Amino acid sequence: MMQRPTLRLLASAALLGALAAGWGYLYSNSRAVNTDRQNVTLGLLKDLKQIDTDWGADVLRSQADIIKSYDPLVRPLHAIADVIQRLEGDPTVHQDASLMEAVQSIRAAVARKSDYIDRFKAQNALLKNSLNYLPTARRDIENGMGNAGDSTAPAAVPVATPKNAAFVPVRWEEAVPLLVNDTLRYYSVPDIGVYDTLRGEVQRVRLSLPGYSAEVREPVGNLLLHVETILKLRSRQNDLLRDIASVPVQASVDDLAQRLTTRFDVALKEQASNSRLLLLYSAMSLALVFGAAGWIAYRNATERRRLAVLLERQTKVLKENEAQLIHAQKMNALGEMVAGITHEVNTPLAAVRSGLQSTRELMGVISETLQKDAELAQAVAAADGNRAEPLAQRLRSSVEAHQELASVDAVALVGQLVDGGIRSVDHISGVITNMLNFSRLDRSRIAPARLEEGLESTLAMAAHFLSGVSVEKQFGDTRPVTCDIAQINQVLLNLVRNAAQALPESGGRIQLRTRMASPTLVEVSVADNGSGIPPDVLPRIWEPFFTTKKQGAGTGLGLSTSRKIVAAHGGTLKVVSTSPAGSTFTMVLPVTPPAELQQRQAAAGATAS
Amino acid sequence: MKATIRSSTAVKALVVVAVSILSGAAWGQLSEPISPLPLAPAADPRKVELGSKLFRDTRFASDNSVSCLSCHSFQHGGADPRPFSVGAKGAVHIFNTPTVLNSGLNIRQQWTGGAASLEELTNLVVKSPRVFNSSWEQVIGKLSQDAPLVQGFKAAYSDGMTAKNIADALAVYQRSLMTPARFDRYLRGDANAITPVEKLGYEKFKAYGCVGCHQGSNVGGNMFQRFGAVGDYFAARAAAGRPITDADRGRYNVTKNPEDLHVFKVPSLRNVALTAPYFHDGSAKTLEEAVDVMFRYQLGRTAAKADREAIVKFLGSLSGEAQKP
Repeated sequence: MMQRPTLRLLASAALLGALAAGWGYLYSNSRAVNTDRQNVTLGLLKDLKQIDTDWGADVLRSQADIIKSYDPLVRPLHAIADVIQRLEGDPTVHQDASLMEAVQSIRAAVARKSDYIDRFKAQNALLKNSLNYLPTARRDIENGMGNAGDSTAPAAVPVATPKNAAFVPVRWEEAVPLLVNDTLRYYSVPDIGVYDTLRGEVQRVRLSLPGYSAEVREPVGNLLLHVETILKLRSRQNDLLRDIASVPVQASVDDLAQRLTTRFDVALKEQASNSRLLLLYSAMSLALVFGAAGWIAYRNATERRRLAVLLERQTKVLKENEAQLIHAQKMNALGEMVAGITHEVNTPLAAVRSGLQSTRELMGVISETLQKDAELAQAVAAADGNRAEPLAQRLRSSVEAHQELASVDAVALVGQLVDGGIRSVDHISGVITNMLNFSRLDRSRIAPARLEEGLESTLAMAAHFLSGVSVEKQFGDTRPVTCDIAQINQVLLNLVRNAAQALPESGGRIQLRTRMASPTLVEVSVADNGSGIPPDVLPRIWEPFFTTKKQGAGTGLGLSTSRKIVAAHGGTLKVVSTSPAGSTFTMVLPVTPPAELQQRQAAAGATAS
Repeated sequence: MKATIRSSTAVKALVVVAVSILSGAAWGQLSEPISPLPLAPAADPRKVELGSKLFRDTRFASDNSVSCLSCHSFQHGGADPRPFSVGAKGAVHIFNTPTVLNSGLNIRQQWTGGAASLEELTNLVVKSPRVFNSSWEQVIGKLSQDAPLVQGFKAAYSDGMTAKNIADALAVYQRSLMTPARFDRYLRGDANAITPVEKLGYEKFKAYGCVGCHQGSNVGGNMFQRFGAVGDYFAARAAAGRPITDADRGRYNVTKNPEDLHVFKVPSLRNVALTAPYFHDGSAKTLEEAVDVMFRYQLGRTAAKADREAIVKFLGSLSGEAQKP
């Protein structure tokens, strides 16, 4: 009994917990998208693109010799590494393999660009070195010759080569300015035509080199080396710059941004649907809670109403029971009084009776003695008239006394009186026995009894209000009924009393009938030829405290108590009433009462004793 | 009225001229190929202290024979006076030890750029059979016996002494090893911080194109270049009796890209006067010799003796003024 409320409480708590958990889940999901973080991440990507753009611009500035240090080309590496590290540390990116993949492709692109830029730096350094050298080289060569003071020296002796007999050596004085000018021109516009021309010039000067004077040979040789370097690196620098520009750093950053945005949009959509779901869920939860509360309130009200009705009925029953208890107690007290009276009366009654009996028995002897006395007195008087006068006088008075007694037949009268006394005593004794029988206080309560005997007892009890009433008895051959005969007698007395009270002033007639309604049911009916019960009263006659009698004349408990007693015995008590013809109350009792009766009776007996 | 207008126009013209001169000066500063040494990055002094201790700790070596300091001697500009350093168990290195000073400014570490960062470098040298020939298990096993050191790590790092934190402490310390020189003061505007010869040397350094590679705040260290860009250095060296070795392949060993054959990181020239011998093979015993090799194989030029001497003098102005002990 203790566990059910606890269980219900636990179940309610679990249900509420589940509701709250569901709500919490939906709530957190509907708040999962962090716009700030998304903006920070997108901001990082923007930074990354800016750094990359600046990086590319710095490469071009280096190439254009606007910046002369490569530090600006190295610095972005640290900045980019830092940004990438922050990107990888971003929870959103970190959890998503496709985003991580995009970050890795940025990393790879940056590494490739860095690689190209390393090559660019190496090449650019050499290219610039050679380019810067050109004017110096020309000046050095010319100065060198000038210093030698032999500017008018004859042109280098042409040396025929075995390979090309048609080769015409070139003079360095003409070749060097041409080389320098063409190389500078080629550097600024790396045109393939200029390239070919230059290659040819370089070739010719190289072939002519052995014919130059020793002082000139080395510087011109150096110059050729640098021109060749420029020829070799200038076009490659363009390729390299193109390569650097084509590294898809920006594209891979855009790709990540695109993925992030897509993901964000999806998450946003999910969040929106989660928000809707949350709303729905909240509404449903609220409805559920309110519904439950309403249901509980409704049930409470219903229950209260039911309880009120129950309470009312119980109160009524209790009142009724109380009244009946009082009635029963009255009856009990009455019964006890009867028993007491019976005892108190029976004893002196028995003494009176036995005295009377003895008197009656003695009366014969007294009568005989008186007779003999009378005869003696007459004989004495007749036989001897000369008796002494005093004696004669006594004899005469004795004879006279006898004649007087005889004249009133005194002895017979005394006998009659004694007889009458004995009859009265017997009557008293019979009445008391009847009372005792009626209340059966001297017996165990549940026992087989003939209902006819009960009826007889009842009639004897009711004798005082049945004078002038004709009572017809039609007793059938009924089986004994196991019952509390005292209670049944009470019922019968009620019925008989009601019948008697319904009767007209004269010509009243009560019919008592018994029969077997079925092999196990005994039927007793009490019919009167009274006024009958009005139809409007009929439904209420079984109600407790309902009475048509004058105030104080009846308790109103008779019929309701009777019906209760009969019901307790498993029987029924019904009435058929027709207004002019009178009423017939019919009691049907089973031969064997329900087990509860006996048990209840036993229990009642136990508590009563 | 007229006069006033004229005078105001004159003022305007003056202002324009002044601004253009100033911006020109600013431009000149900006376009200078070498920039002053930046300040050392802000660092947790506890980490610097730990790194400093570790830098001198021989327990990194499997046989407890050498520490970082053994080969990066501050008496020798953070480098090793020997052509090749000797590591644990007497193993001889195949590269000349580059200086640790200002190494935080380098684009990558080592001659070949084999380590992207100072942290990665520590990871490499702990395991390298030519340096410490050890393992992190061994190193941490030994260092964790040192209660004060362990305590120091607990104080400086939330997760205490780990391989990552050891490398970090060393890197933090090395980044603190900046050596501002007289030349930096010159660059920052102290015209008398260097001598006239050194100034001349700087002009020559620029004029001959040395700054093509040795530029930036670290005077090099921010790019890679082929050794023998103009002349074939290795063929000449082989002819002189030193055959080509695996180490001579340079960055190719790292990238496996044929274009990177004989490519090396351009070393920083800061403290170069102190870090003889020179080049990855330690072949140049003096700075003059090294400058000559550069002229021949990198610049493809000849220079007057006076110019070369001036350049060497200029390089001397790059030595740190206050040596960190």
